[in-house]
Amino acid sequence: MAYDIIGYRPLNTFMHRRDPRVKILWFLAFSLPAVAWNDPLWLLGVLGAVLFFNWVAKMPFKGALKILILLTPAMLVILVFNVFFFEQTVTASLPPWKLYYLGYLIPKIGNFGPYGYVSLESLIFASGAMMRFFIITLAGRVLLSTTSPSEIPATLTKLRAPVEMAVAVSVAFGMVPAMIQQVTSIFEAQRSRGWSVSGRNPLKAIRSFVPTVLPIIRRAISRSEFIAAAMASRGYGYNPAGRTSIRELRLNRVDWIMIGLLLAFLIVNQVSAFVLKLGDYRSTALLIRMALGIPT
Amino acid sequence: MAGMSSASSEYDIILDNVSWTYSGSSEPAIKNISLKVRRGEILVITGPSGAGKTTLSRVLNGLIPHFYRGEMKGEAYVKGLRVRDYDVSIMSGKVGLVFDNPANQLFTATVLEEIAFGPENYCLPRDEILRRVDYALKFSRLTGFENKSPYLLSGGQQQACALAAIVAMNPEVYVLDEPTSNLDPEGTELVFNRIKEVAETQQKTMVIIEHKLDYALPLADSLAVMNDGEIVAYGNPLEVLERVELMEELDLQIPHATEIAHWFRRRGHVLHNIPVTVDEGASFLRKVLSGSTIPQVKAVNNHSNPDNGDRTVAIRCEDVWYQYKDGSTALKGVNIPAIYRGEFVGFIGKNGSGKTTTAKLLNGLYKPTRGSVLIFGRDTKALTVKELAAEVAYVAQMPDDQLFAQTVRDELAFGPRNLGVAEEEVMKRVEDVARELELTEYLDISPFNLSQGLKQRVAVASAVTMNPKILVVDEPTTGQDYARAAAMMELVKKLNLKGTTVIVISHNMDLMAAYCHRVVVFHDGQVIHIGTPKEVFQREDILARTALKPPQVTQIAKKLSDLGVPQDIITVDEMLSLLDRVVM
Repeated sequence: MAYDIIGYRPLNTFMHRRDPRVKILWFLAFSLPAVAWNDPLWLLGVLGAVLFFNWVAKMPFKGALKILILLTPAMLVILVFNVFFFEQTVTASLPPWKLYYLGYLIPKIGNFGPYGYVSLESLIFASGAMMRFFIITLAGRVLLSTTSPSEIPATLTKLRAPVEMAVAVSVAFGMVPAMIQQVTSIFEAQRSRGWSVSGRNPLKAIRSFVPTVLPIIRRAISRSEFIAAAMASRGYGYNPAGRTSIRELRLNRVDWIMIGLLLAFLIVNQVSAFVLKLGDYRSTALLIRMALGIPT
Repeated sequence: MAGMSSASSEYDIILDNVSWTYSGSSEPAIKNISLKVRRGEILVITGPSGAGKTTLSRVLNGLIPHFYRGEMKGEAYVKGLRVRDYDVSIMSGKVGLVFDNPANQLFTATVLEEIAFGPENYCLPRDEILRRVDYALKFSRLTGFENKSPYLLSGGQQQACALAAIVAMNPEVYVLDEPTSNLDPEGTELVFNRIKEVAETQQKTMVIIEHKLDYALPLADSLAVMNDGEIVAYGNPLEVLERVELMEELDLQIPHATEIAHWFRRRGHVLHNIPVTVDEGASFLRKVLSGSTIPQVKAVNNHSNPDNGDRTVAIRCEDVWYQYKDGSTALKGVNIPAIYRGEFVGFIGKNGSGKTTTAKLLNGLYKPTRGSVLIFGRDTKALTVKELAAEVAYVAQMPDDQLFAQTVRDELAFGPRNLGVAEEEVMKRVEDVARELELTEYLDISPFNLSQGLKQRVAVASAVTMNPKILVVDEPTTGQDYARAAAMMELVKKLNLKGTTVIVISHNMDLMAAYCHRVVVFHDGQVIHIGTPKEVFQREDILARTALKPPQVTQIAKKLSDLGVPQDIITVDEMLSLLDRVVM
């Protein structure tokens, strides 16, 4: 279940102890560079750093692998898209030299094709784009799995969101395990009655979900009424403006040091990418061409 | 309202002729309820499901009339506040309401937040919240679970958490709506011990709605019995219990000790005190039996093994291990050498001991990680759930959650249609099963318009139409009153008598004792014993290990062993037939 991979893991690591605001900055400090730079070699460094924090947060690497597998279809789409439309989309950063063509993705068959001119440059660029996707997902996973849903309301309140929203978000997160349980039990109940998704006809397949979807919706509605009653019975709505919180967010020295380091890194990244124009895929392309002995 | 305010100093709760009709309903849910509860008094309310007990609890904290829609008549005052005038969030500061189903009242991500939620709403300073949360955690024995999701606790712990969330608000009045309905005996004990602590140390006013009178009555100062929206008996608990006919008519789960005393009264004995607990029951019988000699007989066994001589093995589990995806091991080598065709077998054990997991292995929902499950000699590993569905029907907990069709007829036809049974045959089965289970008159109406009890019957019927050789029913008695739970067992027994092998999972030991040929005792992912209920309920070692409590009548018999009372009495009927031969 996806929730197992990205859900909160109650541990006590360096990352878990950080203030949620620091973790949000941490997430930005690694996902923004992943967008600003597009050199696969540089991105490899960013990926390494994210994996390092992955390790610091004691997250099993198996989960990272699972994510990689889950992302494969999307990454393939990115790959194909970038290879096909490289020249049209990357006009601003096309290399000054002539692209080195490797061949066609779809060869000429009779009057059909050929399509998908694959160049070395497009491959390098596409692999950067795929990596970017992976890095952001991984960093998001570290953020979610080290931040307890119970820190969310306090964080949102600190970031000046209304109390109602903070409570709503926290309740929504809290309900996830219950919803999963509910959905699983209804699926199991109907499978026990011989139910299965039938037919290749998509319309029929959708219809065959009625016996599971209807009870799930009905149960969710009745449950939310009970939950609302339970919340009211615990005084929710007594004085929203003055509502206090058991969680107190306070930045300690380590948090401030982290903020300093992360901001510094972010500035270095932005300046290098947008002012100094470093971290471009072209430098790697140049390196590889030289290594392969292809003249530029 | 000058009169009221002076009265309110003595009474924490005053209900004056309160009626409530939910909007969209033509019948009032409660009618002309009048009650007065003194400060520090504990009122127990009992009665069959659908009697209006939950509705009454909602009036006490203002959910009615402020949260639910409908029409209210009469007046309710709690802690001197006129309920009509104050919002739920204000009433809740004075009245703590705990609901029956933990899944419907826990809503945050961690135990810590769950408990802090109330104090946070009342804008208490952080130090005070921490102090209260700390107290409530200790109180509910949940220290160490602060950061766990409430949903991942055991049933008993969940309900203790719900109670802790109210305790942290420090209300002056507690209203507990069937706080143990989903719990195993150990969880029930845990929760009632916690309630007792609040009652004894804080002298809080309490209203406890409960079916399990043997737990609740020892706490009660007064007892009210509700039926059909009305209070039909109210007063001193012992006086209310004297009204035998009423108790029997409503089929309430009265303690066995009380039931035995009633039997004596019917035979003309004059009783001064009605016994309620095991000790009271034992000393009552000791007095009655002193002087008489008890014949050296075995208690009459009214339901021995099916003597049909059928030794066909229906189910066999060989060293079955099961591991969940999260890595936790649910079963650690379950061995069940044989469950024979036509047997009625009970699975008992604590929550989390592996009963439900084993049940789901029987119909192939789960496949063993190691070992094998054989259904009529066929390994489930090689079969799909669908293939197995024709042999093994599994009725899940809360079975009415699975209903979806527009008519009961379609609901009953769903299973066999899935199995590819010809439509003509499907309809024949639906008619037959509906007749058998007395559902014919409902065939063409929506299952959602049925009462809770009928919905459950439809769910069972929809399993029976698949013509299973084995019927597995998971917790049919959970959240049911005694009458409904017993009706469910009768229904299953009917199918068993027609040859279906039946497996029932339940925490209700009285029903297990009365219906099962054999029981399988689960503990910590293993089967630690298989035997007749008589045998199992005498094995002190097993009972201690699994925290199971034998029926009250068995506990009474054990206390009277020195008088020669047989130790293997497990039902009230057995005790009465013994007494019948001894007492003049």
